[in-house]
Amino acid sequence: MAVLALVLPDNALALQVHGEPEGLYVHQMAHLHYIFALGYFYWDIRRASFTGRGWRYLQMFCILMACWNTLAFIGHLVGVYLDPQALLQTDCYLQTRLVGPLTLHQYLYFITKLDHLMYVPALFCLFLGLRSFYRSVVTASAGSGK
Amino acid sequence: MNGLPLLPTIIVDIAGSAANILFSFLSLWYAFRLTRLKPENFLWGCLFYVTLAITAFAVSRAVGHIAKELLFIVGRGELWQGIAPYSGGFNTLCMISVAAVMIFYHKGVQAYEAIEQEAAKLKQSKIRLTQTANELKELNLNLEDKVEERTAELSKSERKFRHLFTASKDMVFFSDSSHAILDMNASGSEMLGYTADELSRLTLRDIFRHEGDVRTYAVMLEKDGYIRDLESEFKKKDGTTIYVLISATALYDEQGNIIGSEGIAKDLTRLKTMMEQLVSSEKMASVGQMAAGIAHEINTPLGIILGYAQLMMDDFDKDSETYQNLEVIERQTKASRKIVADLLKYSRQSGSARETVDVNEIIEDAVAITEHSLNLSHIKVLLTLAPDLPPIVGDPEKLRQVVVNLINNAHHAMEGQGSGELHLATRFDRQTGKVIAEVRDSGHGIPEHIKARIFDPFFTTKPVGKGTGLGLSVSYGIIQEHGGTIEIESPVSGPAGTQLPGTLFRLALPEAEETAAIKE
Repeated sequence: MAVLALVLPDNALALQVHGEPEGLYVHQMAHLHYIFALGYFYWDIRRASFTGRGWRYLQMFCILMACWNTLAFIGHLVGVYLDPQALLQTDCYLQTRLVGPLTLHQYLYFITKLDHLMYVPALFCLFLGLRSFYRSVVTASAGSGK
Repeated sequence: MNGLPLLPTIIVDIAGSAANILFSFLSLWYAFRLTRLKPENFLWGCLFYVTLAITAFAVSRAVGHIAKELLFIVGRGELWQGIAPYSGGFNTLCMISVAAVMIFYHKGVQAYEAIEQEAAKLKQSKIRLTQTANELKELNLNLEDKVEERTAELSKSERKFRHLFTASKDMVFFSDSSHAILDMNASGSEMLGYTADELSRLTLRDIFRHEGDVRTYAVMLEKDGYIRDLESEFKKKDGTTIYVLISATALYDEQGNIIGSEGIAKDLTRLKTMMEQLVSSEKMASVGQMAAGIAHEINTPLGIILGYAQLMMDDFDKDSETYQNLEVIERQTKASRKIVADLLKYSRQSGSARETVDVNEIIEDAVAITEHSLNLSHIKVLLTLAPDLPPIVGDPEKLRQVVVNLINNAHHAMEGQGSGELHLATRFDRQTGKVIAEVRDSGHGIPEHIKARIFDPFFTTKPVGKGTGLGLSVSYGIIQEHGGTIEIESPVSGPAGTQLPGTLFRLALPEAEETAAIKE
């Protein structure tokens, strides 16, 4: 009997079913997690009392990236709740527009769509920080004759 | 309002995504270079992994966005509907990874800090260890030189003190707490007459003449730790005494207990003898002055007595009792005048002749005068006269009187023995430039306790009436007058350290200056 039960389980319901909104929830939670991690990273840099231009750029990266995460988090929420009728594609995709009269919801949607204006500076700061580290190490090595 | 075009957002999305790819890769490149430059640096390693996760997320997201925009632009938006779940899922995964790496970064940095602290401690220890190793190495390299240098210094110091110990003309000795002599220098053993082997078996009690002095020595060392100028007497191996001045220091162990002493003893015997002679000279000089005064005072009345007695003798018959009494007065007065004359000679108040004198002739004359009486007493006279004796300057009469005096004394010393030998010898001591004349008898000698008094005026061992006690005093005065010395030895030191019975008088008279000048 036991063998039969294992071979023919019928509706055992052993696995949990992941419905459609779960992906969005996970993504949003990932954003929150990312914000927390950035805050932790920022605090850790300050705690370690690391000084120098590179560490300052890294702190700026944390701040900008945390802001971007917040913007993206809001953008995802706005996207979910935006009425599909609020967007109108006439001839082609490039001519897509938000249909007026514009609401706060639509303005938010538009602003959050420009999130790269936050994301690119964040990565630029990361680049500057690491370049600064690299140059300081090269200078120090040259100074010590190594 | 008529709506808001989304074209700017599309442009920003595409351009921003491209910029993200560029900056993330540049960041990753520098992070990678850092790990290459400092592969041992944990911090740069952690930062590389953080950057790698950020780059992965940025690239994943940018590629997705560009793909989406391009698909929609070309009118294939339905394709994106199929890709979107995978792109979104991968983005989420990357984002979680970035967050996780950032959190782990903190722990990593903490671990790194702890390791760095330990490494710093180890580095410091290593530096100290290296310094110590270098010092040890240097010490080791120079050790041989230093040992050699130190050994040379010690050797030099040892030689210096050893030389001081051996070359010192004073006695230097070391003793233990029981006063056993541990070591003594050659001068010490020579002073005492012991060999080094004999000394090693002796204690201070054996060499101190008086037991009480040993106690004084020990008490002073215990009380003060040192002795300064302790006058004492040491007993030589032959039983004679030497006078010493001792300075000593106590030796202590680590607990402060006395374990022995080190001392220096200076022989004062010669100095003491000289002091005694000096005292004697002073005494005799004062006696001489007194005698001279008395002689002058007595000489005049004696002359008057003698003159009147002789005048009166002319008035009486030679057979008369008065004449005979006057003869007694005359004889005794003359005897008194002779004593007075002797006193004057002793005090050098009488006149002296100054002429060149051959000492050998003086001795031969003196022997000729006394030979008869010496023969009667069976005394054999032995002359050893140096043929090349230089002359001296003086009064031959007085010098003859001195030699006759010494011969008479020798005769007196040997008279009771029934026979004897009288040795008369002369020689010239080139080192001192003095003519030496020696008169030695084989008589009973002079006792130690009267040696210092024999030159005193009126001191005599002869029976009353046989001598005036002025003979040697007068001789002493005459020799002094001639710039010479008179020494006495009894018993007499013979050859090879032997001692001969009897007494030896040694006269040392300076040779004539003219002779000395000619020689030079």
